[in-house]
Amino acid sequence: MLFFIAWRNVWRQRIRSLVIIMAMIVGVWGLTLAIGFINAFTDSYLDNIVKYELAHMQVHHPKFKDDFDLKYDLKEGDVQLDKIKQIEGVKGVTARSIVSAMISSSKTASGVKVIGIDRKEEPTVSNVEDLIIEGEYLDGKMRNPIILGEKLAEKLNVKIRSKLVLTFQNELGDITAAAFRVNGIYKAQSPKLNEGSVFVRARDIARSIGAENKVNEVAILLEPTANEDSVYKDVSNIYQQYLVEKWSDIAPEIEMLRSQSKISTTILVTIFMLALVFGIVNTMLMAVLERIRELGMLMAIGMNKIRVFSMILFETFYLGLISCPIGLFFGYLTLSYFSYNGFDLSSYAKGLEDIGYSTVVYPTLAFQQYAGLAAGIFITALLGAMYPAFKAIRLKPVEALNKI
Amino acid sequence: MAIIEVIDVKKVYNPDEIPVEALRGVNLQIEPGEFTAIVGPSGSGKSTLLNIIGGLDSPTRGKILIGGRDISEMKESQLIDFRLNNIGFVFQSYNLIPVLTAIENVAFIMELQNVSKKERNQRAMELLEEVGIAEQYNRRPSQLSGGQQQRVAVARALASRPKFILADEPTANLDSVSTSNLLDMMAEMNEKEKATFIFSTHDQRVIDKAKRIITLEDGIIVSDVVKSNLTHVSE
Repeated sequence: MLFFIAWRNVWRQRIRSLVIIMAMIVGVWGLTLAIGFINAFTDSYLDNIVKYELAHMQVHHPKFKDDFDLKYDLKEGDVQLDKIKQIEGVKGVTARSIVSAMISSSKTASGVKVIGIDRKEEPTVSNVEDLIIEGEYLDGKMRNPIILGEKLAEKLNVKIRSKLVLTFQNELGDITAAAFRVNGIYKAQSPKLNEGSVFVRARDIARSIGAENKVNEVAILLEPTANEDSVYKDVSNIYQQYLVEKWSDIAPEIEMLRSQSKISTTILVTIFMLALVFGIVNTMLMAVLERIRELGMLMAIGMNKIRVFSMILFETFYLGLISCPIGLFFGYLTLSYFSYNGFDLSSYAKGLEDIGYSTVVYPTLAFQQYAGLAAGIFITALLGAMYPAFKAIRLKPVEALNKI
Repeated sequence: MAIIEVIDVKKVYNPDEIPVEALRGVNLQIEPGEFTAIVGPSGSGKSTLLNIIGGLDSPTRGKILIGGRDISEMKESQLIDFRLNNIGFVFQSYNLIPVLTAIENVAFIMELQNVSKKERNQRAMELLEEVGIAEQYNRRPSQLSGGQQQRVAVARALASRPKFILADEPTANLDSVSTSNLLDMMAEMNEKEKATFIFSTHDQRVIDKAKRIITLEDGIIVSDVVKSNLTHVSE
């Protein structure tokens, strides 16, 4: 009957209970959306970096990154690719030739990272092809095709079929130049990719420098469910003398961004929980203070303190039981809509693109986050009810009964 | 053997500031089955004495023995259990649980005693029948008149099968018809169930109905009259 009394007590002050319930629903809904959007921003940034730039893992010669010198290549790098493909959790793998170069148009010149790709294997790892906004990928019969970012194209003042000259050092340190024609222009969120990198066919680099096809980088993309540590271990076993790095090692700023997102989420949740605590304390304290005589009577006739305490907590529990699932459900519906249709931030697109975010984000919340939120709300609400409940059991029946 | 023994009870409020002596050495014995009214002017100590007998307040000095047990020595948690199983309360303003119906109000106290649902509902209904309010069993206090609410309160007080019932000014908020009906009902309970009733009251109609009248003035008993037809009380 205690559950029953607590339930009915919730509805004694219908308006007051509805106000706190509505406030909790809106709060939970808002919190769900906010966390979903924080997730979306982090995921979109990470996705852009992983899908178009880094992949999940990279293998290099230990000295390669010092000055991107072609001579630091992976011996038989492409031969090992088949072994990597066999590793459980690997979605795609590709070999790349990378060289630093000076790119020159008739107007100006700029330093770039030239990424030589295998046309067939690259799409299993990188989706640069999807970013093409003009022209086409490295297909067709054109000799020495090159694709570059929109910003770099603007800077060099080039269009499709414009001629560009790449100047780089060969293995012996001699300066070599080769002419390329713009085959496609892409638009990437990453400033590095948009302004500082160009894509060519690996075999064109090899031909330009008069050497065999060099593999300086092996990029590996994992399945979403893959165990990153386990794959890392297997890849390290294949490339024992080389440097195997995870995306978080290659770009520690992303890991930092993820940590910052977690901190932002924690701050947001803390603010919400504090507001919830004050809301619950206020509501339940009012509920206790206006029932002092009744609580005094209950203790006078023999209701012990544990029962009185539990009754106040049950009342709070019911407030949470009504509002939390509704708030989470609305949050789920809204997130489902936006995770399917995307949330268009194009009015802020310029600023976002400059820092590497997508203009359309897809907010999501993992089941664990829903569960964590629900648990947090109930625990916080019950903690908030402790003070009113303690106040209730500290009442002396004889004094409480004489309260007007 | 007396069910209540009040031995030299003194109660002083604000002992460290401006002391107010509410009771100044009260001695009293109540036998089973009594129908006793404690009367006296306002501030005479009636309610204080009732609260101390009911274990709701503690004496500054003296002892309260109920069924031979000194309740003035009990801890608060023990007192709550003791009140639940030994004392029934009827309050001036009924003090029913507003969210429960009449039958639920009566059954609630038995739930606190862990009586089975079937048994408590059966007894609650029987008690409501005895106090003459069975037809309104499913109504909430707000749907009952003052007299009807006080009847439910009496049924609730009886539900836990207490040794005695303390009623603090039970008729103060009732009109004369309701007062008369309530007193008749309680007198009948006293006769039939041998329930012991102790009232604090100003109400002459209660005093007329009581079989023993204890008069308090300035915290001491100035008279204790047992009406002549109460032979069974003094046995």
